Amino acid sequence: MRAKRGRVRRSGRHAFVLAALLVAFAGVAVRLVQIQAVEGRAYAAMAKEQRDLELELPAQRGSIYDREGKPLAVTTAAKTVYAVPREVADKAGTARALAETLGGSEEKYRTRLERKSNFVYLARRVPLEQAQALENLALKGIYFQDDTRRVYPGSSLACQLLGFVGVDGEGLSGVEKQYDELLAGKPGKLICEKGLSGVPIPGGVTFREEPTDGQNVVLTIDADVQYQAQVALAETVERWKAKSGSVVVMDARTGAILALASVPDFDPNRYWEADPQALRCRPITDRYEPGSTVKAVTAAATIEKGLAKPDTVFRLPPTLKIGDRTIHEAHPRGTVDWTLTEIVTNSSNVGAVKLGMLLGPQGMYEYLDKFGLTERSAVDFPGEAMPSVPKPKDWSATSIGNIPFGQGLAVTPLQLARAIAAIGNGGYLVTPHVLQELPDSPTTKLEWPTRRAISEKTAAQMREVLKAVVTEGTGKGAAVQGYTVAGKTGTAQKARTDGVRGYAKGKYVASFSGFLPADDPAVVIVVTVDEPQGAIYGGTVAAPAFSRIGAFCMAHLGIPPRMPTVGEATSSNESSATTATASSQDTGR
Amino acid sequence: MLISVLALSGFGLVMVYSASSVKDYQVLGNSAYHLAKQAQWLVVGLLAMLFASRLDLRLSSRSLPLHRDAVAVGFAAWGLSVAGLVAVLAAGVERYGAKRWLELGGVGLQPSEFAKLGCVLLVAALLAKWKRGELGGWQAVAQVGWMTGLVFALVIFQPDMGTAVSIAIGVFILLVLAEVNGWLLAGVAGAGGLAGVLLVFVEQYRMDRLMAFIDPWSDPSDKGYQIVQSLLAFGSGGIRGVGLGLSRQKFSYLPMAHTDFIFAIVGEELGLIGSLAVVLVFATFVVGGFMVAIGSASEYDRLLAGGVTGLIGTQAIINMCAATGLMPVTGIPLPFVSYGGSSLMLTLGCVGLVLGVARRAERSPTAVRARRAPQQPRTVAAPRDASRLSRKGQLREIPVERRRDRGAHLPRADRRAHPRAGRA
Repeated sequence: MRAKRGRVRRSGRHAFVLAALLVAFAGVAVRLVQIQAVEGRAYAAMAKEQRDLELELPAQRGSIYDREGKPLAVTTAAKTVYAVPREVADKAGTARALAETLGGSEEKYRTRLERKSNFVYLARRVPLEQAQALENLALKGIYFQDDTRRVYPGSSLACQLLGFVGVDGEGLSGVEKQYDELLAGKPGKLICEKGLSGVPIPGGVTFREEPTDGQNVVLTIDADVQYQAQVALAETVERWKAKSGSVVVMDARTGAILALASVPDFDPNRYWEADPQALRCRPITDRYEPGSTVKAVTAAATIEKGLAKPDTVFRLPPTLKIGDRTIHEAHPRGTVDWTLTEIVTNSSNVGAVKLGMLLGPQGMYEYLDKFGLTERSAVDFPGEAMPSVPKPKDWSATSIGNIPFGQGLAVTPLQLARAIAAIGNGGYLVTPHVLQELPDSPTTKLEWPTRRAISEKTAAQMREVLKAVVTEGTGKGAAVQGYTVAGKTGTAQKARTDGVRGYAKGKYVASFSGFLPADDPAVVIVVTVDEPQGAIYGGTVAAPAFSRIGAFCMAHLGIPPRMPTVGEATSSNESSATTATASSQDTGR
Repeated sequence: MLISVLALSGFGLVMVYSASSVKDYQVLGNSAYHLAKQAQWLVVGLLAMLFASRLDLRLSSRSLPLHRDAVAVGFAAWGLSVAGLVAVLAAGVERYGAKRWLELGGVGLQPSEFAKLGCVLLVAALLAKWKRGELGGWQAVAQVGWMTGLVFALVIFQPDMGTAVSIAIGVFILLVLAEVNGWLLAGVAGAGGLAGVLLVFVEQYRMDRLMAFIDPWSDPSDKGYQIVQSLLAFGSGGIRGVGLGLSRQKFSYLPMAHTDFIFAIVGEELGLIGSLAVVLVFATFVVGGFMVAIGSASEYDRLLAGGVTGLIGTQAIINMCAATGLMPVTGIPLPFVSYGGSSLMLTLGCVGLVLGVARRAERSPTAVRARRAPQQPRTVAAPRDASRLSRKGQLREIPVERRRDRGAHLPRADRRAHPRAGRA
């Protein structure tokens, strides 16, 4: 059978090709076993890794209120805009549209859209109206994500105090930073599987944990007082063309801070545009040499130690030589016999040094310490500066010749306010604070410890001395109609910043620190003005702002006026013309 | 064989839906877009199969009606292919960086798919003529050479290396089946290999693909991306698979998930079990096809069935190898399964040709003799029977005792084509 043999032979080639194909199929099968069964797990793990997406479910950030419940910082709905650059065909046109609706430079959007990635943020936390406008353009490859946005309704009101929140929702400064943990809450977690473009795969959720929203925070700040303080300070700084300024308004008895103002300021809604200088909460973060205000501490120490009484008379020469330095008065005079009270009201440097010498370095430092000027005030605010006060063992021969009148040491306005408050409130040192309550955790007990600085008696005597500063001495400008005011002016030279020892010529910090009503103070106020031009004295530059803020506080807090008698107001034992200008000028020359 | 084809096509429909629905939904908002198109093509394809199975192609020195003359049909198919390819070059639509599509009344066609069939039809006819001695050896070589060479060049020019390679392999298989001299085969293989190497070096992307194949992990995010993602899909599937429709890799990680890499999605969703099943079904198809070829009535049928089956089988192997990282990525669809209208229609048409061969075998003297064998019960293999195979219900009417015959290990559709089935 030739045909049959022939067929068998021909079938050989067919069988050969068939066998080759089957071998190839077998090869594929072997390979499948290898990659699916043997190495499968490793590949599966890699696939899972590239897919797993851990999403944070954002917690709603708590709001910040002032003591009367006015919102200072709130969180509102917003959108985050992102792009999948691969899907954006018209990069230039899209960039232009983005710049038009969202603001910012076209260039910035363009570079982002040209990135070789599957996901780029274009703008985070965009207000809803803007996002809507963009959404209406229906741009290809542009997507929106629900988000939140921190809004400060008062814009620059208490801006440095409140601080601001970064793009990732973390408090970066101020109260936002201090109480970030409470405000932020706890974000939830969602682990899900995502596609290449970052979009979660339906049904691919593997883990979900709900977020806990942040707590609301009520501050001791009084929005109205804060506003007045900021306005008064801004006007003062402008009037005297000063570099900067700060105001502290604090409850003298509790340490609750009613206002903290700093100039220059900024809008926390657009914090990224702000000058870094404007971000500083100066009353807390900036130190300065307090100058004559410290004379109140020196005098109080002398009285408390029983070394003198307010009416003890000291003979004061025109100048005093300490070591290699000569102490001058701001306004040259002859030899006088002044009481301790008069030393303070006239802000005599020589007198203060005399008192300091009575106390000695140890005694002087002891009371700086007792008045809290050698430590941080422990205010609940980030970035408080540490006072710079030399320890007695580090004092030079001339230290006793300047520390008693407030040069050669540096403290913050808040630390000073705390010391002055101790005189006003009967002798105890409070802990300044901005947190009033946490309405969402009522069981949390907030404690602000106090400690005694001086005796009640000494405090009462010092109040009389400081009242006299306003009625008869350098602080007349601080008087408030209908209320007695106690306080102390300060006109301090600024240390040179160019590395040379000594003081910068013509650069002063003018301040007024005081409280009212003097006999039962509701508020202690410290106003400092940095580098005023045209006038340098605390009584001239800072006292009027003090008066204005003090008057507002009295009216706002509903404290009834107690008219001082006419006699009191005019019973100056010196010519008013002299005292008005005889403000202290601290000599460090 | 028919069952495996239907199974693969139906399965392909499901997998195309599964693999393309995510992207369709994202891009078009209609997750069933590709499903619907593939289903339409499947219907067209099945009609094409039916039509092809009815073609009574034969090689005859006597004059035949043109539509029955294998040589004429071969030339016609070849001519159409060349015309289509030229049209593509002239007015084709470019997609994914290659000009392969011809838009006709809103339908995208790939003439290169048709060209595969055209070449096989033509070469099978020419070689059959040569075997009959109606064509001189050198004449045959020259004709086959220039005619397939032209098609090959046109396809390469699109560029579509994958299809060109499968045309070359299809023709080569035909040469092998036609028992062409071993030296000539070696020469052709050598020339083909050389051409392949040259083509790889000419185009940077081919080089990249080759390098990516050699070490996909050296650049898993760019050049090796497809292979790596494909391997991750297979690995994710493990042995049992993640479940039909539950692929994760199809969520935009794996490009071409519904076309060239559909096998990876099969592996991920149905696991090793599913992917091996697909391999097995393809193997069954190939065995069935070759059984038809071996049992066929004429030299031409023998070459046609073998060549067509070999072509489809080779494509399946190339596709599977590419998806599993055994070969460089070439862009050849998985026959029956991958999305692609022209491909599905033509592949089913090819199957129709093989069925036609089987039908002719039933009527051939050997088959008649087998039927007349006294020990055999009357079979249902009437002349028209093969065409009825496309109607599923008909299969059930086969007498029970037939199933015990020596062809029982084969899929039912192949039994009648089994040359020894009747001679037992």
